Amino acid sequence: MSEAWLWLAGLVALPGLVIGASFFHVDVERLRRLAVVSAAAMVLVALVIAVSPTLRSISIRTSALSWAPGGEAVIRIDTLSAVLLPFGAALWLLTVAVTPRAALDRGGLRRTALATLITLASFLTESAVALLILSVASVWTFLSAVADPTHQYQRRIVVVYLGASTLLFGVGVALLIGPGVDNTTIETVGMWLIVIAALMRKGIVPFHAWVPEVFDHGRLGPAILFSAPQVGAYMTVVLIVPRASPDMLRMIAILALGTAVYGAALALVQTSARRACGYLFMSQSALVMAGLDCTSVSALAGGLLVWLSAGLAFAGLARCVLVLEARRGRLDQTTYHGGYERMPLLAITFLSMGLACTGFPGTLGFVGQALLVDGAVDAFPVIGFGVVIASALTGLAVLRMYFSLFCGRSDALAHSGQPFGLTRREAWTFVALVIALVGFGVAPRPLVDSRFAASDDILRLRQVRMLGRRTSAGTHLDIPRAPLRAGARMPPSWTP
Amino acid sequence: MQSDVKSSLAYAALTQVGIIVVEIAIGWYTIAFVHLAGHACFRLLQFLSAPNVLHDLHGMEDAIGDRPAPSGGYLEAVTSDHVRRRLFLIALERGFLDSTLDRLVVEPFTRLARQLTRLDVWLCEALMPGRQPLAVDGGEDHDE
Repeated sequence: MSEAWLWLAGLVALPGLVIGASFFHVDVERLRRLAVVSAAAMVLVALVIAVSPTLRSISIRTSALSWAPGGEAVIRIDTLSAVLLPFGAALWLLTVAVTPRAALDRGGLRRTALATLITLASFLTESAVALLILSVASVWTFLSAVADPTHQYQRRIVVVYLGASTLLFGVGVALLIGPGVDNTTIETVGMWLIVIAALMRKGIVPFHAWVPEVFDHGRLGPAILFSAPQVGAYMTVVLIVPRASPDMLRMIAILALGTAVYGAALALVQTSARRACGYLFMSQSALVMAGLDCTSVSALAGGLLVWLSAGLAFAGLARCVLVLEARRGRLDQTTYHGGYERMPLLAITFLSMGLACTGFPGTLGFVGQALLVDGAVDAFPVIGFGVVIASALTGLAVLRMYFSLFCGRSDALAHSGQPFGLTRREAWTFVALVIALVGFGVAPRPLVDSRFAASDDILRLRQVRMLGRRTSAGTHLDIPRAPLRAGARMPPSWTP
Repeated sequence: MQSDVKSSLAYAALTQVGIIVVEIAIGWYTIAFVHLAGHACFRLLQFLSAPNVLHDLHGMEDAIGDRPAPSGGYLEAVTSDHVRRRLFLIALERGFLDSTLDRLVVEPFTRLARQLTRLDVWLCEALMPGRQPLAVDGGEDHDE
């Protein structure tokens, strides 16, 4: 077994260890400690894999799941997935480290580990069939989190939306992997079905109604863990972007830009902090989708960066809301709660995460949004400015939430007698997340280089497929404008 | 027309910034830079010294036991009382910009956003009737 396989086995074994331990009668707090250590180790292992070129050489190709010549890579680590592995591991660490003690149970810790395993497995494959199986597994895991009688309504909504999404995805994959479907109507229909499945999963308008409902009245923790990794975006990058026609990508990008503005605008007027989080997620998730479908190197790299920054920042922001809820009960934004003096660290963390979501200078979000605006305006000279409008509205919504949740009342009047301080584990986790977001915002070059390399690889694959299609069909197709640049990197003149 | 010195300085700064932007648009970058630097230094001095000027004025008023005699008065001579009051009100309310923006932009925007929120809720209820009443205590919504 090569060294790369050992590292990959280690990566998979860590959540497996927590899943296994959860079946024994281990004390819940001790199990959480094991999960925190495993998640921290997983972040380190994933980082080693991401930075080491030799460890990124893993690939298993098979023809068993596809009729494509040469088969598909069922497991592979490439420029795209290398960075997504530590991202997924970091989300797991954030989840297990800051879950309030009252909400902690063995089944929940098992589910988070399983969800992380499924997410990482999704990021490791480019096989449509494997992605379908993993998609079914992730929806099942999410549904099991809302199985209790108090969440029956939300469970039914998730079943309708995500069940339909999975069904469409399954039919689309079945049409796409059949023999001799290249350049046929069947392929186009299959791709449209997969596109609709991805849009439903990501909550893009008009398939979005489940997102605010589940965030508001469902269980926020599992909703964050299901949404933040943005597996729908991964489905789009791997299955849609390389083979979709420019018109299809343009339509997805327009829908996504509209959703980005819609989500941010509605987040601004919500009275429930949870529902505002749901709309903010929709907006951020749509920005990623818009970047992925603009087919220019900078927009794609921007989309890939916003994927990381928005995923981490949004998960941190929503976790702050959960931590605050554990201390105050349900949070409404119709009044000013105050309490900054008692929990300045949580307030500063909340604001930092929110500003990172808006693309505030000095955070990783700024780098991604700068590239995204550049690419989106280039592709759509008028509606591309939707990115700017969405960012501005997100900023307003975040500040409104911050003022409502942390400012406005003197400390003596605000929930007196309640213990408000963060535990040491929560404090360290939030501080580490803020440091990561600001650190990569101040020194973004390694990450930006890797995202440019990934976007170049994706567009090269697309260009090769388009050229092959044009040759076989004998007709002219619109080849994307992105130049085929070997080893393209961030422009030397570009500075954050 | 402003009633306090800092507002007057802020509006004066806006004027200069407008001129600097025009200079940049014309392509006079060097002039724009010199203008910007000069304006920044001069306006900073004015902002910092404004409280001292007011303090001196109050001292002068205390010393003479009354307000100093008004200077100028040209505008007062050529405008009626009614017009002067209207102009003063407009200046005091900053040209009614905030209330105009509230009425024309913010209120329609929030109204539309609230209607869209209701539409989203209605969509869920139309699709899945039988929504349970909301649990008020967030602690019931166990995280994991």
